[in-house]
Amino acid sequence: MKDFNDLQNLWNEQKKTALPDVNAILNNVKKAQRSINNKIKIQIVILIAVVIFILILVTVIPFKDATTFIGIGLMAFAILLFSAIRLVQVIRLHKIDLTQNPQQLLLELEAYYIFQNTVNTKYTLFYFILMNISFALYFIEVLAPVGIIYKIIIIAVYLSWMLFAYLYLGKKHKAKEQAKTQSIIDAIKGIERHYQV
Amino acid sequence: MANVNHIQEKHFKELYNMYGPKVQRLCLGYTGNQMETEDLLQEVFLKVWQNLEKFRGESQVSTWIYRIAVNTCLYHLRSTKNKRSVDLTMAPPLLYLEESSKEEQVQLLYKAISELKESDRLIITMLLEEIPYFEMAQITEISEVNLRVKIHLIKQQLSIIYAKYERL
Repeated sequence: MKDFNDLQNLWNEQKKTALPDVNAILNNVKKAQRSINNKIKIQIVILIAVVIFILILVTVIPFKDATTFIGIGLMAFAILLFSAIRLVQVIRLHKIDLTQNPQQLLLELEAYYIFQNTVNTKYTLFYFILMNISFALYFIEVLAPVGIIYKIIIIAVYLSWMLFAYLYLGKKHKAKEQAKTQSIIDAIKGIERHYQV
Repeated sequence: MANVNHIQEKHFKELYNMYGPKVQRLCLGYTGNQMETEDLLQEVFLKVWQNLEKFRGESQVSTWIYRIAVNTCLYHLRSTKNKRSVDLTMAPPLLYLEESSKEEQVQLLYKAISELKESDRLIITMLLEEIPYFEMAQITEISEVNLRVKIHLIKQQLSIIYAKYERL
């Protein structure tokens, strides 16, 4: 059996691996920096676009009932809230300081993923409920002039899609995301424990 | 402004040429995979570039870069589970190994390192890179006494894992 000194000698004798070209690295680094900034900018643009779209919708279409305005208001609130949370997450991830104490970094990462788990589960459920209440309120006025048969068809299609989206697509996606996030949290906790020993 | 950028780029290139190979080996020890190593190397130097202006010289530049490298490896968990299991059937048989070149033994050493726990992989690679104990303690923020105990255990573990491959 080789002792550690043999392994040390082996390590020292290894051939040098070619290092990627410094200019290529510098270009990629600059490109990556721009890409992160663009991601944040896109999120902000989406937030602003949603506000503008809602304002145009309310101004252009002459709604009369208070329920419609409440519905649209709730819809805007839900979208804005969710987009804002996503934006906060992007910024938070971007701001994680990799020059700090590694143990502090692990704690910060753990907190980030626990929050992400909450967003993927509780906040997403809240968003779904809020959106459905908004649509229900919105439909009261919008579907008023439509015949009973069409009303039933539209509501049936809407409900089927929502139930499919929530019970099948949503749960599948949620389970996948949760498993992924949980595995990361567990791995971080494992390293934290090991780090402290 | 252009002059400042030029100076920063020059400084960056110097740091990359000086510490790039060491960081590359550290990342390879952590991932055991060449492709992931290149991604990590790039990510480390992205963080170096982003934080270069903030570096106040409170620690040695090597300590600062190594800490970024260690953190980047740990941060890497976000995109991969990092649960590595080395395929033992891929290891060459002993007779072949005895005749094999040093490079093949080095590959086995990397495989053995990748069997260790995440933080141990980083510590042992830094040790192999002959980073002084006090600097390793600064990088990892583990007290020097604890670090020595840890290193003692990791050395034993690594020798056992390496021997396991040799026997195959």
